[in-house]
Order: sequence, then C-alpha cells, then structure tokens
Amino acid sequence: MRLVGLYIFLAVTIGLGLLFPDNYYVSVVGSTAFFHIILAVALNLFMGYAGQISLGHAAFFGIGAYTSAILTTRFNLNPFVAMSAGAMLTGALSTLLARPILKLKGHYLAMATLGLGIIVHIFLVQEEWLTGGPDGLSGIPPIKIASLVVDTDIQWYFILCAVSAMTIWISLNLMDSRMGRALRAIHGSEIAAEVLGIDTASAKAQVFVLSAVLTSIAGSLFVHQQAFISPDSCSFAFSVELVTMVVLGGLGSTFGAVFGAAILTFLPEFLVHFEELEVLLYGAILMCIMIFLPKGVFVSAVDGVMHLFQRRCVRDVGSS
Amino acid sequence: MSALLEVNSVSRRFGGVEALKDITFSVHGGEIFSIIGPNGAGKTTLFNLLTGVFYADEGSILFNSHDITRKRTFEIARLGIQRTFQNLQIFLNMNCIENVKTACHTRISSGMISGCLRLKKVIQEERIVEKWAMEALDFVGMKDLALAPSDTLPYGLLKRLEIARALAAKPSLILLDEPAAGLNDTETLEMRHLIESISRSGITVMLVEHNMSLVMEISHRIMVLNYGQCLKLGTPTEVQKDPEVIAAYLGEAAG
Ligand SMILES: Nc1ncnc2c1ncn2[C@@H]1O[C@H](COP(=O)(O)OP(=O)(O)OP(=O)(O)O)[C@@H](O)[C@H]1O
Ligand SMILES: [Mg+2]
Repeated sequence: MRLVGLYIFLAVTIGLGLLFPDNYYVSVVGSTAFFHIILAVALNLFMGYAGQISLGHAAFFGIGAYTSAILTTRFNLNPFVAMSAGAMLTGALSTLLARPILKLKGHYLAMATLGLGIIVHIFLVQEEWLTGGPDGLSGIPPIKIASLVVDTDIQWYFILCAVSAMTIWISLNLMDSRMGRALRAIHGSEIAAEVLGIDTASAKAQVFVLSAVLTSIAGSLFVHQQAFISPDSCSFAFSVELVTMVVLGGLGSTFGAVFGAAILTFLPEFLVHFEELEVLLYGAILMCIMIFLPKGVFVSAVDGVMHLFQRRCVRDVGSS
Repeated sequence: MSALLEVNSVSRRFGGVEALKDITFSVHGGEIFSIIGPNGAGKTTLFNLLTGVFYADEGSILFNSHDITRKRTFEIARLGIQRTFQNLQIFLNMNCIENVKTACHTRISSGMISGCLRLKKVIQEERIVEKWAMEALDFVGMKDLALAPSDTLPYGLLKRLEIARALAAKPSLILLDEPAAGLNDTETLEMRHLIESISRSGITVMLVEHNMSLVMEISHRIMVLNYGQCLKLGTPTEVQKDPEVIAAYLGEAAG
C-alpha cells in the first residue's frame, strides 16, 4: 500500500518505453522528464518535507556534472568512480555550508542559496582552464554497464527510469521513518519539533546534504547522456525551474514533485506549436495553476478525490 | 518527596520588561504544581525558560539533578521534560497519529540513511512506534481519530492531541500552558480528568491556567506570579486566603 504509487509509476513508464521505444516524446523527452523527476524529488526532500528553500540546487547539479566531465575526459576515470567523486565533493561542500546557511530562514535562506548558485555558476564560466568556460566541455564518454555501452535514447530511458524509481523509493521510505517525521515536524512547527527532542539544526543539515548529493548524481548522469556540459545547464534559471516543479506539483508530496517535473518537461514541448505565443502561454498556465490550485496539481487532485469520496460516504450513511 | 525540579533565583528581562524577577521554587516528583497570575505575569516565560526556548539572564535551573539552565531545547526534552503551548503548535501537515509518532523520536534511534533504505531496524521501529502512538491517543480518548488530518480537528481535540503528543515522548515532567483555555464546561471537565489521570500515571504536572476552580481543585501547590514576581507559594487553601493574592488576582478573577 505504501509503495502503490511507485508501482504505478513503474508500470506506466516501463509500458511506454516498451510500446513506443522510437517515439521522440517517450525516449527523448521522457529521459529529460526522468532527470527532472530525480531532481524535483530530491529538492522536495529539502523543500517539501523540511519546509526550507533552496534557489541554488543547480550548483550541486553543476558540481556533479563537471566533476564527472573533467575526471572522465582528462583522467580517463571510470564514469562510476567519477560520479562517486562528484557526490563526495558535493557532500563535503554541502556539509560545510549546511550549518551556517541553515541558520537562516525564509527570504534570507533563499538569498544565501541563491548566492551559492551564482558563485558556482561564475566559477564555471570563469575558470576556463578547468571547466572550458562558457563553451563548456564536450566529448564526454558514455557509461558502460558490464560490457554494454549505453548510448541509445531508449537505453538511457530505462536507466533513468530505474534511477527515478530508486529516488522515489528513497523519498517514500524516508517519509515513514524517524528522521522523515522529524523533517516534516520542522516544517509544521520548528519549536514544537525541538521540544519533542529533535535536533532540528542537525536534521536540516542532513537533509540538505542528502538532497544535494542526489542532485549531484543526477548531474553526473546528465553529462554522460548529453556527452556535453556548459554553464547554461547549471544556471540560476535552472534552480528556479526545479523549485517551480516542486511547488507546481504540490509541496511535501513525492508524487507531487514527480507530476510537477513531468508537467514542466512536457508543457513546453506541446506549446512549441503555438510559436511566438509559447512563452506567454507557458507563464499564463503556471499562474493559473498556482492561483486555482495553490496546493499544487497533484496534492489538489488527491484532496479533491478524497473529498468526493468522503461526501459519498456521508451520503451513504445518511440514507441508510 | 524529593525535588524533581529546582529553580534558583531565576530572572529574565525582555528589553525594559522584567518578565521574571528572582524566582525560586522547587517541584516535587508526583505533584500537580500550578502557576497562576494575571496576563503578562510571566507564566509562559517561565515555561520557556524551563524548556530552553529562552535562557535565564540570572539564576539556575536543575532538573533531576542535571543543570539545564543553558541546555538547548532538544537536550532538555531528552532529559524528560515535555510541554504544550498556549497557542497550539500542532504539526498541521501531518495527521493525528503522525503527530504523536513524531514524539517517539527520542525513544528510537534510526538515522536518515537507514530511513531512506528502510532497513530492518526501521521496520521494527515503525511497528513499535505505531503501538506507542496508539496507546497515547487512546489515553486522551482519540484512538478513533488516528488517521484524521489534524487541520480538520476542532480546537478542543487539538488540545488533547497536543497532550497525547507530549505524553508519547514519555516525559517525567509535563508543562501544560492553559490546557482549558477556550474549552466549554464539558470539555473543561474532561480536561480535568485527563490531567488527573496523567498525574496518576506517575508524571509530574506543572499547570498554568486561568480557570480558578480547576486550579484550586486539582493542584497540590500553587505559585502566584504578578509582574514577574512570586507573590505567594502554598496550598490552594493558603493561596485563596492570602489578602495580597486576592487584591492582585483572585479578586479581579472572581469579580
Ligand atoms: N519574546 C518576547 N519578547 C518580548 N517580550 C516578551 C516576550 N515574551 C514575553 N514577553 C513579555 O514578558 C511578559 C510576560 O509574558 P508571558 O507571556 O510570560 O505572560 P503570561 O503570564 O504567560 O501571560 P498570559 O496569561 O497572557 O499568557 C509580558 O510583558 C510580555 O510582553
Ligand atoms: Mg502565557
């Protein structure tokens, strides 16, 4: 029962992958959607569960991506070793930053994480000797699983599907555990959480690191899929897009983040047909969603269904 | 009877306001110890000092012979003090049983990684936490509402839920800040029975309450605060007879 959503997710995505392996919207856009799902679910741990805000998650994505790119192209390291190195670097950096940054709340926390994102972005643009500057790095080798070289779109589709499912599984597990409850308690009332014996500073720091490391791993996978990385992929705009996904789907709900990510990936694909109206429509749709479904698409929908169901129950009780 | 809590010459200022001035008292294990006084007397501030929400400017606080004067809130909780809030602090993003389960935090130990991977230890913990949480909900008579979302509950039930949550942490001392405020007569009577059964279960109770008949009937001892100072400390009968107390508070409350 706890994992029902995950099974549905797997059935739908594996089904689509098997039925339409050559469809552009499945193999290509679908793979992008998986990246966004991993990132949004990871960010939701920090934002939706713990009630914090980060406008700098693209920085962690960039650190993972560039560490993988540099270590595999310059030093010929195995992609999985490079990925672990990126995750460790991100882990170390986020651990170092967590305590001072997370003393801040609300707007101030948003500003601090925004600053972090901007600093990393500037570093990636400026340090040409290491990062290739604005042009980025290319020629990044594909990953190899046993003797299978992963380089077709549909292979990536299934690999990213598996990683997304794992991220969702982690998120659902955490929800019903000691530390997951602690995080949601911090969201509900930080003072009450402390009074119950929760070391809120430590819990927030831990989830910040967890979220950052998952984001970094997604970044590593991204460079191998694209064979290319530039600072544009880790900009402030991308951080904001991730936050939008989490909020749009429904803060605090794992599948809210999944839906938010999917919507923000597919929406632009369909709006392309409206040509110059695209951006306008995109903005208008996001605004309408937030005005009419302030709890997010997924959470509002679930609430709505529950409501209908409860009304029916009440009516049944009334008529019997 | 031994002293569970010892408060020695504690003072606390907020800017120019002396919220507490040189307060000394001790609470014995097993008693119901009440604090009364007019609005702004410093009652909630005292609870805030006892739970490390604020720190005392001067003086010291000993709990179970641990010096908790400068301890942080979560460390004090781990020593066995729990409280409720005058302005309810329910986790409205969780349902009732999740609120209560959260309080079992210090009774279990799995970390974030074990939680993410749902190790065997976590599964075992979840089973026992479920049981503890149901016991606490049952104690306050809310077993049937375990799965109800907390943001739909009426005020009276939220007050009970907050108490269930505090109890699930297995405290030896519980601080109740105006548990009967905003309740009707029936609910107040139920609250009285609840406080008495908490006391009977061996937990020491400190109570802040404006409902005088409730306080006078269930307290073993009462401390009267006025403008941050201790006006009187004694049994209900002693307090009710004290002319200073009548002038400062009871007269006004009765009239
Ligand atoms: N955080 C704070 N900052 C500034 N002043 C405060 C703060 N907390 C309390 N005070 C002041 O300290 C005094 C005591 O307040 P406290 O809340 O302890 O009163 P109380 O006895 O609980 O009153 P009530 O019966 O209204 O709850 C008041 O003058 C109040 O304004
Ligand atoms: Mg008060």
